[in-house]
Parts: sequence; structure tokens; C-alpha cells
Amino acid sequence: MEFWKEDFYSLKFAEKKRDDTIIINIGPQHPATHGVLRVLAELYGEYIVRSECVLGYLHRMQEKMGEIKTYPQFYPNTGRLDYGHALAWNWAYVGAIEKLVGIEVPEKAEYIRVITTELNRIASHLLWWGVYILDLGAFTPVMYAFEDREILLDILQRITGSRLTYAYFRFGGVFQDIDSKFIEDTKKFCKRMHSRLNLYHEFVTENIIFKKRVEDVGIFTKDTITKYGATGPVARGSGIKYDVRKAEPYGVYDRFKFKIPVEDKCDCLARYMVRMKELEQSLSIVEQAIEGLPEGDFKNKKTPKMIKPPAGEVYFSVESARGKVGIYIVSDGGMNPYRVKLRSPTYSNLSLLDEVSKGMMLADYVATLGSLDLVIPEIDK
Amino acid sequence: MATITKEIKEILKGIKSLFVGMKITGKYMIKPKVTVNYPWKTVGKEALEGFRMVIQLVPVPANGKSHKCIACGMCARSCPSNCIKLDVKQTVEEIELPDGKKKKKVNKNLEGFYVDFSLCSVCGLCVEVCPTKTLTFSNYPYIVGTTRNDFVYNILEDFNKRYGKE
Amino acid sequence: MSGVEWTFIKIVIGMLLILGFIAFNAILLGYGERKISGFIQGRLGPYAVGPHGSLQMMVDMVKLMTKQIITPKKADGFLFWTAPILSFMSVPVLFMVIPFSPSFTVINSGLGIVIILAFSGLNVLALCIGGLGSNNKWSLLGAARAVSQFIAFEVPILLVVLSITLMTGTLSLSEIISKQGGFPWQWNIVLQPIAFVIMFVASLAEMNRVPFDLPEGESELTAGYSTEYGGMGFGLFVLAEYTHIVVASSVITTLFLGGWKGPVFSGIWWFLLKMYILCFIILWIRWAFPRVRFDQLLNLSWKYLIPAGIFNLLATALLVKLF
Repeated sequence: MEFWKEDFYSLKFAEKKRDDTIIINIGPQHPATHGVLRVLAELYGEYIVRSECVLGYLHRMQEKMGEIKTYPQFYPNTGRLDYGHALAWNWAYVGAIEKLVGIEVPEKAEYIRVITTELNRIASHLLWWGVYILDLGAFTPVMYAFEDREILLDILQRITGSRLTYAYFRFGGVFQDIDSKFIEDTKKFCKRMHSRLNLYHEFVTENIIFKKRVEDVGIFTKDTITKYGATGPVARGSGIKYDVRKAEPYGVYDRFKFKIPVEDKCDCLARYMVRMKELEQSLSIVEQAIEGLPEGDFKNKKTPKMIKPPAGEVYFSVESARGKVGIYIVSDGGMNPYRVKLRSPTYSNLSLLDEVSKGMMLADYVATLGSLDLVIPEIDK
Repeated sequence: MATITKEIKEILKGIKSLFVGMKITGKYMIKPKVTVNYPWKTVGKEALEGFRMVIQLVPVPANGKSHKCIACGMCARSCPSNCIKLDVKQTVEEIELPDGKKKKKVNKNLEGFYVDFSLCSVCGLCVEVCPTKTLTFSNYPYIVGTTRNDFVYNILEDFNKRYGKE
Repeated sequence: MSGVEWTFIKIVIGMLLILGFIAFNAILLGYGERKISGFIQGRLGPYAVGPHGSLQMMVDMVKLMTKQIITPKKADGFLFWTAPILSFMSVPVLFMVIPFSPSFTVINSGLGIVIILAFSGLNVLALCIGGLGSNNKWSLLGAARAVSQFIAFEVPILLVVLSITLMTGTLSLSEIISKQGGFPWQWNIVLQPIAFVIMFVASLAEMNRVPFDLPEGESELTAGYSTEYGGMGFGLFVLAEYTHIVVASSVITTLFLGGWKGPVFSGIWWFLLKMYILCFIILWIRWAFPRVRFDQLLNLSWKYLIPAGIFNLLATALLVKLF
């Protein structure tokens, strides 16, 4: 029996197979998919005739888990959705509940949230940067990115207690206060990072081979973006100026000066440049926030021990490194939510790939897949 | 003609970028290394500050010698993954109140505090919820085991060992 | 003893020495590659076995040799196992004609460079049948890439070798060296800089090294032609790959860098020094660049290297005729 006759997706996909093509499985175990994404692709030589993403290999029922747990007990799950930018999910969840219950957040806690989330965004982009170049075949940049990322993770670990899957934010504040060493280290890191970014550009962005690999590859038109609801750097790389931090400011983001980098080229290089510029913007936000850090509590002392929101529904969205993270919660007035809906940005971002990939070369497909900055646990939830 | 010169310029720029890449990697080759040579060296203590590992009992107040766990079970109830088990021995004794009435008093005696670290997701809810603040995170990361039971810690026993109690 | 017998004994002894040399080089380059990659990436590289991990490759060899030999169920067993053996078998022959020093040459053939070009071509046949015999689609793609890549880059190498032979008037490697002097300005690289660049780039492509490692391009084809291989099958491919690096460095040294001739004390050490510096650069390049795309790779050959090679050949012919 041939492999493509063995499961539903393969069966469906093989129905339209041409005689002169081969069907291959890119994934679930493939170095380019960063996890367990499976792509069924029909190849004509090196060219992809059509492709289809198969999801669900890492489905953990996060939404259902939200329904059967009490409100605070869902904290650790939010850190495990997107291992790259876990604090954004943390924030989306606590923000939603705070909005529903009406918990005030002290000013200092808001600043701490901004600092840690932006640092986490930098870590996420660094991880993406390294791994994207690894997808294109260079082994070294990922190590340089990790060199910086390790410093960042050390800084974050001191405060949040973990290096990757944070459960740091609490209803009405954060888990623990930041100290002077954290502030000093962060300042030092920001200073170092500016010069490191120059090195990155020198080493990779200007490299001729890299440029040739990403220029005019994986064109996402504006129509495609809006049709599939893609957000984040993917949308901004196609000239759509949408960032939740500016569009619907949450926390104290309206107090900082930062730009939303937008590129019009629509190709992989545009998305790459958007992320590289976002790194600079995040650094500037962190510097501003550290500069204006107010005194005060790190957590609202009046936060009820038992979270029992009134019956109702709430939607809260934040900007993660990959796009718009949204959490929709319906409460029936009980101890646990009636319904938790998680909107993961990469799910929408990935869905446009099937349409775009037609006629691409296999190597371009890998480059495009990498430029989406996929995190599979977030897609499969 | 203009396009040809442009093309040649592009090619030369590209070749230069290749040499820049070689230069950067070459510089790194002679730079001191950033990794820690793990089994021979480990990171310093200050690098582990704040890292969350297995929860531990600490004396309250900090310079004391006894923990303040009252076996209320709040930590076990708040845990999202049910990894805390308390072994509590309840004894009921009747005591006479000064006014002559008799009252039942329940003594809770903590005999074991079991944490299954293989289930724990270090969220910190138990630490936050502890009414006497006698639970904190430890930060010793080098734990290893061959079976699942190796990660079930009796943190009361550890506390007693550390503070020299039977 | 008659001349024929003496040649035969010489070949056998040379063969044994060469096998030892190949194993030594594979270990050295394997260790070098790990250390170089480690140093470039801010790591220490292997450290556990022996002082500074110097015995790591021995342990790896033992591991590869003692692993179970697995043939995939649907693979063509004969082709599947012919490939790694064929890939390795052609390699010792390549060393036979390389003049390490005036006295240290196994066969002083008048057609040395032709023998090298012919036998290094066997490697691609091995990759091709290995990819085909694995009955794996990734391997098949890798094999297809290997063949077209090899064909594309064989042409510029031939053009370069032609211009060198036009200049020196011989196909014998020893004589090509003897026509060069000991000092750097007397080497062929000064007279043929374009040829040197073409030769270097094309050799990189022929050896499947980054940035031209498309047949095994990890992030695209998992492991390309060697996807299904494990244990010693894989080990032989790797051995052949490292040996090809040494051979290519030796050939470039011979053709362009004056071979065993140096400013002082000409001899085998000069040859080895030049060769290992080239090996080092080749290993270094792997860790600095991303991979090119397949159409770009072919464009590089057909659009840039071959025209440049032809131009170089014509210019050489003209100059040789004039002077």
C-alpha cells in the first residue's frame, strides 16, 4: 500500500494528483518545519504544484483546559501556547480577566509588563532570526542570535523564574517586583544590542547569497493578507500598517514613542526587514519604560483571592511577536470560564501559504515558511 | 552600458559581502568562547537567582529554625496539575476552656509534604497562596532521575535534613 | 626484478600508505571541522574524549562501524549498498597521481590531471544510485540535484584545466609543478587569477560543500541522498566527502600554488602546508554562508563561470601564441 492512501488528508490530496508529479510529506518530522507541522506537497521536479498544511499533531486542548480549570489555574497554559513570546499570551489572558472583573493594575506593574513583554519580543525575534537563516542553510547566525538571547533569558529568568514558558503576570499585577540589578542588566543589554544589530546586518542582511534567496520570494499581496486575516510582521511586510499596540492601545503603550515599521515589497525580505526594525523599536520602548519607571506596588493588593467574574463575555487582544493574540472568554458567573477561545496569529498567517505556494520552488517554499515565523504549539493549541 | 556597469557593481558588492562574512566568522574564531563547558564548569550561583525549581519549605522568620506550615492545604487545592500531596495526621483532643466548657480542638500535624515535580509547571500559585509564606521556590537545577518516582520529593524531609531535625 | 613487477609493488605499497593517509585526513578534517565550527560559533567544540576532544573522531568511527546495518524494506539492496562503496572506492585512485614531492609520487603519469578528473566523476554516480536505490523521494530529489550540479560544474573545471595545460604544455602534474617557481610570484595563480577563482568555486560545488550543498541540503531535503543511510554506509559517504576536500585542495595546490616548491627547503612539507591551509578555508566557508537556491547554482555555472572560463581559455591561447 502506498503511503498516501493511508490517512484521510493524503487520500483527499492524492485524488487530484497529476501523472507526472510526486507527492511528498514535508513534515511532521522535517528540519524546516520547526515542530510538527505537516505539509503535503505535490512536486513537479523542484516546483510545487500545490500544497496543503495538515495541522493537529500538537493539539493539547488548551481551550478545553481553560474551561475545566479555575481562572488562576490557567496561567501556566498561557505560557505554553507560544514558546517564543509567552508573555504576550500571559498578558492577553490577565488583561481579559482584568477587563471582565474590573481589576485595577498599578502603574508600576504596567511598566514592568511593558518591559518584560518587549524583552520577550526581542528574544522571540532573535530566535526567529537565527532559525530563519538556519532554514536558508547557514549554521552560524543561530549561535550568534542565541548568544544575545541567552543574556536576555538570564535577565528575564531572574524576575520571571523561567527561561521560556513564563507564568509571570497575575491578575492585577505581576508575580514579583523587579530590582536594581534587573534594571542595570537591561540597560546594559540594550546598549550591547544596538551594536550587535549592526553586526547582524553586516553578516546576514547584506550577504549576497541571503539577499538572492529572499528577494522577490513568497509574495503575499495585500488582498491575500486581508482575505486570510494575517497580522503582525507578515501583514506589515505587505504594507498594512496594523499593530494592536497602536490601533487599540492596551496597558501603557500610548505613553511611549515608537514607530510601526512597514515595508511594501511583500516578499520575504520585507518581512525580514520589518522584524529587524521591530527589534530596534522594542529596544527603544524598553529604554523609555526603564527611564520612566514609576514607584509603587507591583501588584494590586485589593485583587480578590477568589476570582469569580460576573456573567458576561470579554475579548482582549495584544500584539505578540507574530501578530494579534486574542482571548475571548465567556463567564457564567462560576469558578471557571464557560468558554475560552484563543485566537492565535500564526494560524491565520499559515492559512495563506497554501494559496501562495503554487508554482514555488521547494527552496523558496522553505524560505517562505520560515518567514512566517511559525510556532506550531500556538497553531495547534 | 549603464546596466552593465550596474551589474558589475552589484557583483563586486556581493563578492565584498562574502568577504565580510568570512571576516566576521574569522574574528569570532579567535574570540574567547561564550559557552560554559558544562560537566567541568557550571554557571555561578548568581546566574540561578530567581530560577524556579521544586518548591521548598523555608523557616519563618528567615533566621529561625522551624517552618510555619499549618497544613491548611491551600497549595494543594490551588495547584493546576494536582502535584502536591499533604500527609496530615489529624488528632482531636478535648481541651477545657477557662470557663469550664469542653471544646474539641483539631491538631493538624504535617507528616509529609509530597511534590511530584514531573507534573509541576512552576506557575507559582502555591507559593502565592501560602498564608504563612513558608513555601518558596528552590533554584537548584541539576536534578536527574531514572524513574518517575525519583521526582516525587518529600520537601518536609528535605527541610528537616537541612535544619537538623529528626 | 623486471619493471612491471616493481611498478606493481610500488602501487600496492602506495595504496596502503594512501589508505592510511585517507583515514588520517578524514579524522583530522572531521575533528577540524567540529573545532572550527565550534570556534566560529563561540563554542568549544568536542571536549570530552581525549585532550581537547582530540579522540572524538575515533570514538565516532567505532560507533559508526559497530552500528547495525539496516537496509530499508523497499530499497533496492544491491544499488543501496553499491553506492557508498563506489563512492569510497574511487577515492584512493585520486591520490595515486598527486605529486606530494618529487620522490613521493605513486604513479608519475603523463596524464595525471585526466585521471583525477575521470575518477572524481565516479562520486556523482555513487550519489545518483544511492539516491535512486533508497526508494525515498527525498533521496531521489537529492540524487537528481547531485547529477545536474555535477554536470554544470564539471565544465568550468575542464576549461580551467585546459588553460593551465595550454600554458604549461603538459598534462602531467609533476611537470606542471616543475614549471612553477618557489616564490609566490612564480606560481600559476599570478598568471591565471580568474582560473584560480573558477577552480575554487567549482571545486566547492563538486564537493557538495556549503554554499553549494544542495544534494544534501538539510533544511530542504532532510538529508538528501543520504537520508536512508546509517552506520558505515553513511560513514563511507562522509569519508569520501572529506577525502574529496583533500584531493581538491591538492589539485589546486598543484595547479596554482606551486605544489611542493617553496621559497626555502622545497619538499613535501610545503605541499602539505598549502594543502591544509586550503582545506581550512574550505571548512571555514561552510560556517559563514547560507545555501544558494538551485536555479542560482546552475546560473552561477552557466552564466558566469563558463563564460569566464572560455574567455580565460581564449586569452591564454592568444597570449601563449604571442609570446
